[in-house]
Amino acid sequence: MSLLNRWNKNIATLISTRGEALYVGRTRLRIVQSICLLLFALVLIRLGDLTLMQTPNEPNIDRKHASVQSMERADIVDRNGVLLATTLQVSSLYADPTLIENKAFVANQLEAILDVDNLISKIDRKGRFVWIKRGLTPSEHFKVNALGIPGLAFRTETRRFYPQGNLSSHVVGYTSVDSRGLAGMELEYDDRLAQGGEALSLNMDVRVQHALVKSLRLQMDNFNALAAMGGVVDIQTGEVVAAVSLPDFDPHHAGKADKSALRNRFAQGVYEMGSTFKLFSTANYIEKTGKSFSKTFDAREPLKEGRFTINDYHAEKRILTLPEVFIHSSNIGSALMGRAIGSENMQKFYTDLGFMDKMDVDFPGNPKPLTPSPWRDVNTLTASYGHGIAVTPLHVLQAAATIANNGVRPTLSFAKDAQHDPIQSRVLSASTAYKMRQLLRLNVTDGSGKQADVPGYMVGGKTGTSEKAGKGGYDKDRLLSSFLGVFPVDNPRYAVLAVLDEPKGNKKSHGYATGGWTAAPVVGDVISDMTRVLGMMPNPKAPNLTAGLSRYLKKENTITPASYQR
Amino acid sequence: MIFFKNNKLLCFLIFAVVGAGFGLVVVSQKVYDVQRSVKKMSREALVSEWDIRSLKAELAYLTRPDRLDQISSAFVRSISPAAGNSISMVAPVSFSLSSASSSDVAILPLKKPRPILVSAPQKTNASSKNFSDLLNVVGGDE
Repeated sequence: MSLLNRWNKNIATLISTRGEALYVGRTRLRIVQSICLLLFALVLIRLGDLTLMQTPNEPNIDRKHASVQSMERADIVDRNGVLLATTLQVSSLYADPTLIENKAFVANQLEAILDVDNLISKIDRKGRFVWIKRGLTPSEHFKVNALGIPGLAFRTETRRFYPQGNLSSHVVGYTSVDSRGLAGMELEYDDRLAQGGEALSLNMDVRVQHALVKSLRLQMDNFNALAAMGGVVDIQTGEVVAAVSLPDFDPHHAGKADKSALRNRFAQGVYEMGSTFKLFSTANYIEKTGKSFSKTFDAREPLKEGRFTINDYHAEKRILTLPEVFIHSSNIGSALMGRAIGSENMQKFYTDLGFMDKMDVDFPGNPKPLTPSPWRDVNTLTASYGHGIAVTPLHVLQAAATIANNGVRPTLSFAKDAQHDPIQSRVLSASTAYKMRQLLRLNVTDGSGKQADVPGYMVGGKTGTSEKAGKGGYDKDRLLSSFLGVFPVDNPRYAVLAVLDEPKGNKKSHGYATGGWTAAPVVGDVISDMTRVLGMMPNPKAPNLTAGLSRYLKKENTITPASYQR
Repeated sequence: MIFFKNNKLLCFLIFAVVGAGFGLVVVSQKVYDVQRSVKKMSREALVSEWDIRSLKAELAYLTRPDRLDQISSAFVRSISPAAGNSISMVAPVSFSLSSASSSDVAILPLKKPRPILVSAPQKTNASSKNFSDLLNVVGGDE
């Protein structure tokens, strides 16, 4: 029994131990199962996350330099997308002097290829890095590479490139070696361009710019002028379509350019513009007094104001009607208008036109006009015919655009990104502006601006010739000749200004170097080219703005070539 | 085998985990491959972008208005714009038939048009340069 009992006991113990073992085993399996299940769930979740949940931007790639456009200085283009400035890759040559054994030989070899002075002193320096030349040309790169000299190596850099060259150099400007803007639009929009991205679009049209450069350069040569400048402005929008200052310079080598060539006369030079100012003083007179074209002015004798005497350049010596004062460009008549208006009214009107302040335009280095201080009565008289007050040609274009734009002053802008003041101020009534357009047209059909006429396009304009101030007063031999044109005068769209600095008369001009001879043909040529380039059709049905004005003109005093004058 | 028979769920889970892990490795490897190829393509795109910039600059240089003006003045006869006052009355032209008397104006056959010979454009310093010449002068100083 005892044996059986012991057996039973052992069996029972064995069973209970096995049961426990099974229990423990199953428990462990469940734990392992749970862990596996958990891992599986994690993997499943991660798979789902990778395949379904992640955005298309993943995997996370370094996109910082994925595009040239985003990392390089932005391009500059004209209003039609023509490239004016861009950034290209160039190679720069540097040396590790410690690796160069025969330094004199290497210097000789490089000097035969590169236009660099004092090469031996560069190579002979201590240290392990020295620039030999930055911005190699492709042929220089090839030749230096072919030498195979140890210790010479290349580094890729970027350099600003201006495909239009001199054509737009004064507007576009240029940059330093480190691609920082130093002049023109490069300077004005330096921060915007340095950020990269979309190209900066200018209002300039290179075709119109070329037409203006071509005509100005031709007349500059014909009349042996020191300099020439000009511009074209869209009257309705204030966009500067062309802006020229000659002599110009190669923007790739601005550092080597002559100082005179670097000076932007159009936007940064101030000049006494002469008779083109009669457009504004006459407008002011009509606006303030309400007088009609039949109003007359006694121009028989020189006008005396204190110790000053005002003469006419080509005196008619008779009583002139208002349109005659304009087309004969009588200083006496204009001064009389100024006297009738008064100093306060004159200053206010010139302030409204923008002549008394720096221009609000997106171009760097705008100077403040030179105005009389204090403003005396005689200044009112001289300012009526454009003397004693010096403004930039850009000021004159803006004021002309104001007159042509029915008396509403547009804000000029060089770039499409320019921050405009949306409120345009009215300076002149529409009726006075219309009368001025009639006078502008009359001056081209019957006055000193005949050479600016383009058949079919209703050109209006005003000549200007001023003597430049010297040490001993005004110098009769140093003139500033200009022509301010507006077309078509029946529905004005563009204002064109051409100025020649110190032109000399020639045989063809009978020795005259006045605005009618020198600058008016430029405006005529530019308008002629613009109509073709911009596809402007002639308008044979345009209203004749000068109809009925002939009764204010004395027939026997028709303009002769000799009187193409102020 | 008994173990597999008795623990089907566990085995399934183990295989599933191993399979999923393998899948994960494959997917991640593919992702790396794609990353590499995208980077390579980005580099190629960057090089192409530089090439395009150069070509655009070259195109802008070659189509400069002064250059086109020079070419057109050499090879194209200038056409003046139609001015408003340039349209004139055209009178009907009277001519005789071939049967008309010899005293009348005879109708002559039109001459075969001959090609117009134009002189080659005058070379000037800036305009006659090609793009590589220009690039050769773009280089700056140290």
